[in-house]
Amino acid sequence: MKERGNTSLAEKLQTPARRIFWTEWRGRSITYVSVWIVILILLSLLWFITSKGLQPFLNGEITLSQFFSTNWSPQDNKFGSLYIMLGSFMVTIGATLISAPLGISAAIFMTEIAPKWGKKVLQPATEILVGIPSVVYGFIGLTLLVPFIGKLIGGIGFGLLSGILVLSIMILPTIISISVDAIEAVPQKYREGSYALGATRWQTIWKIVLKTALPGLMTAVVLGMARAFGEALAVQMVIGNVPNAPFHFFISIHTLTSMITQNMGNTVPGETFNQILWSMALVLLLMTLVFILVIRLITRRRDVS
Amino acid sequence: MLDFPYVKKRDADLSTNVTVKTNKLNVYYGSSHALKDINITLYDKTITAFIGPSGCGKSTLLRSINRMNDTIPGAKITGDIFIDGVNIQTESIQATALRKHVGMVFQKPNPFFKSIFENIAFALRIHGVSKKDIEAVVEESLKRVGLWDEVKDRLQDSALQLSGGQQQRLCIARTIAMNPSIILLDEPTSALDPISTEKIEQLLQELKRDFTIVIVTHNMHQAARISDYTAYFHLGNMVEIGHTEQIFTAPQQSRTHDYLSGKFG
Repeated sequence: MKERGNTSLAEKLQTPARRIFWTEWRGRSITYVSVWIVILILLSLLWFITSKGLQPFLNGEITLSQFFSTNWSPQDNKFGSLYIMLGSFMVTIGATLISAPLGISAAIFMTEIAPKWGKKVLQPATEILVGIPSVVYGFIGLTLLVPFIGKLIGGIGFGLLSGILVLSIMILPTIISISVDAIEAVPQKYREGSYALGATRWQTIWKIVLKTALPGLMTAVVLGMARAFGEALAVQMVIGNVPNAPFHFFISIHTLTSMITQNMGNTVPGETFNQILWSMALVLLLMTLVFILVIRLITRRRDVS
Repeated sequence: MLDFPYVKKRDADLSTNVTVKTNKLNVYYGSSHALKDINITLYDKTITAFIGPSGCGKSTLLRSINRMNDTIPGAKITGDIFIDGVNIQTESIQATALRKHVGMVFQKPNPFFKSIFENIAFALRIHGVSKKDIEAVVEESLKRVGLWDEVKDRLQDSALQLSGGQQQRLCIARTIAMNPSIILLDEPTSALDPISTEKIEQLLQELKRDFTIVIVTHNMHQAARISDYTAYFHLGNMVEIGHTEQIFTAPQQSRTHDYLSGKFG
């Protein structure tokens, strides 16, 4: 210490630490570059899909009202996609109607009724369900569900109901795991307050816990819907792939995603059909944006202290 | 020498009616023995304060009186607790019904994620108060805790927008809305500022006319200011109970004296 004693504190303070400066600069550069790469990829994707999707309308090959009509017959250059879009909505709504109550109830069981068992057995089980690839779900649906429904109802078994059932199983783990997080985030003091007022367990769960967790539960459902809306492979394998009006459970229909996966290889880039597929991709993208917007709106209203 | 110049003088007309009486009460959390052979008597329309260092068992005893310990996995209770002569440890007593008559207010204000009105209405609805009475009871309860004038124009606003002190008074309001006989308060002011604390202390003096009040407090000065009886707990034992004036001027036990004089705690 002594030999350093002759430099004054003022001098020491003014000596810059070179190494610190360099590592700071390096760390900042890495993160900046990374974030710019991500933004660039995102923007170019958005630009690409949007421009491709708008092309048939800008080139005058199809008008918006034609696109949103029910007249689908590619060989006559008619690409009315309304039934296909409605098909996407129908499978999504159907799957959500099954999975939302089922998933939220399961989440209640795992957090409120049997937390030990839920944590040890059910949580890993849902994680496994999330990890199963969608093609496997589709394969199971094709092998088990489609013949079963065919036998039960008569007919071929492909169609809206098969799509709904396969999707409802696929989105179930998403809804469960996010609902579990939402319910677990409800502070214990709310439950105690409710019990202390003489509420039963069910009253506490129903009126206090679920009410408090509602924004999170809605997020879970919307994310499940987004997954259902965007799922392609499994749906395409069981839905039948015929652009019928999607208002009957047992007839083959089409969805935006199944139409794209089925035809992207069979159409030539540049021809109208191929361009229409891009327009469908744009519709999917816009719907995803809507889902994200909805989640933002739900979570922003939350003012839990 | 103990120095509590503001200690509450002994009221001449304290009730001698017994409200709560425990007989060899023991509470275990798993393997830890949280309360040991507690025999305590609480009198009607008085304030009893439980004091003592952290982990002494004072909150555990409080939570036994309305059976909130039932909600803790691994909690085991032996011995008896009599409320107005009825043993509440027996199977035939429903915890939910018991808690209607033995209300509880917690350390951290915990109004629900609901409107101010709904926070109180929830308590009333679960006990079957009819729709037309709810509004009147909500107003009356808010008036009793001195919150009515502050919130009457925004009853539908979220209760979480209130200040900490207001939230705690709302929690007291929703407890007294059920018209209990006993109110248990678990360190109700420890998360509040001094002005809110004073308001709640004044409120408790008024509520004493109608309710038997038990308050756990970490703050011995608070106990000295507001309570009629004080019980001192240490490591799961009740070391001493007596009139607050006597405890804070001439405690019988040296451990009580040491705690009150600040030797530990």
